[in-house]
Amino acid sequence: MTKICLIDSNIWFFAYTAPKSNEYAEIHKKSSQFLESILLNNTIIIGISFYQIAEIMELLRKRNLSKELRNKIFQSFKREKFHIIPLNMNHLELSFNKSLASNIHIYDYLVALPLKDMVTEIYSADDHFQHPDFKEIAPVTNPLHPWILREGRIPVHPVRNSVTR
Amino acid sequence: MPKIIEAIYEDGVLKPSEKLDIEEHQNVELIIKLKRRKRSTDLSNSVRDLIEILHGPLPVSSIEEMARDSEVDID
Repeated sequence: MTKICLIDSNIWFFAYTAPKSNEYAEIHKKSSQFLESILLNNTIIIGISFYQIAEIMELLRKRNLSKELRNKIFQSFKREKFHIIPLNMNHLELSFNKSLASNIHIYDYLVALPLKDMVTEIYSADDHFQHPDFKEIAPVTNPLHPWILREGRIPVHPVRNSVTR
Repeated sequence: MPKIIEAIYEDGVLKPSEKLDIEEHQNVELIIKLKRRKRSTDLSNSVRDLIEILHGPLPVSSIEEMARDSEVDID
């Protein structure tokens, strides 16, 4: 039976870019290995919204992934492995209202809410996704555990007690 | 002479993929051989580029740059 999962943008970002420091190399390695395992699993389809495709493309542009490779990734999203979900005004309004209530980035909601009633698993290393708003969409697993990622911040490894900024 | 054709099973009926040169109501014998599901092949093909890029040279940055650029609204 085929399942549909959501892979958060930070996992795509750390899979296709690498940190210089060995201290953080494990994040890239885990992201890359996890993404490859999902890509090779023929029983899993990746659900992805219009918004998330744009977000991934923008994150990879900022970290200088070449135009050619970004274009190949974009074209791959149109293949059978992916189930692309358009955004509508309801998604936007619901995301806005939930963001108002929780103070979590509206963009996190725009990644997840369009896939409600469709995905059976969410993979994210962002601790925002541990909020009930996201867990009610589908169970949330952090494939980079124990690393925690959050937009705009240095990744945190609780066991190593890494610096947070 | 036996002929091998492809067919798809839908709504309880086997539908041939091409026109058959036989009379209406002609009885035939069938040997059913399951084909590999097309979707599996397509899924593998559709991710080849994504996997090749994962294994190729990728941009390397400081963790500070990566953290800054992991947020979509900061430039």
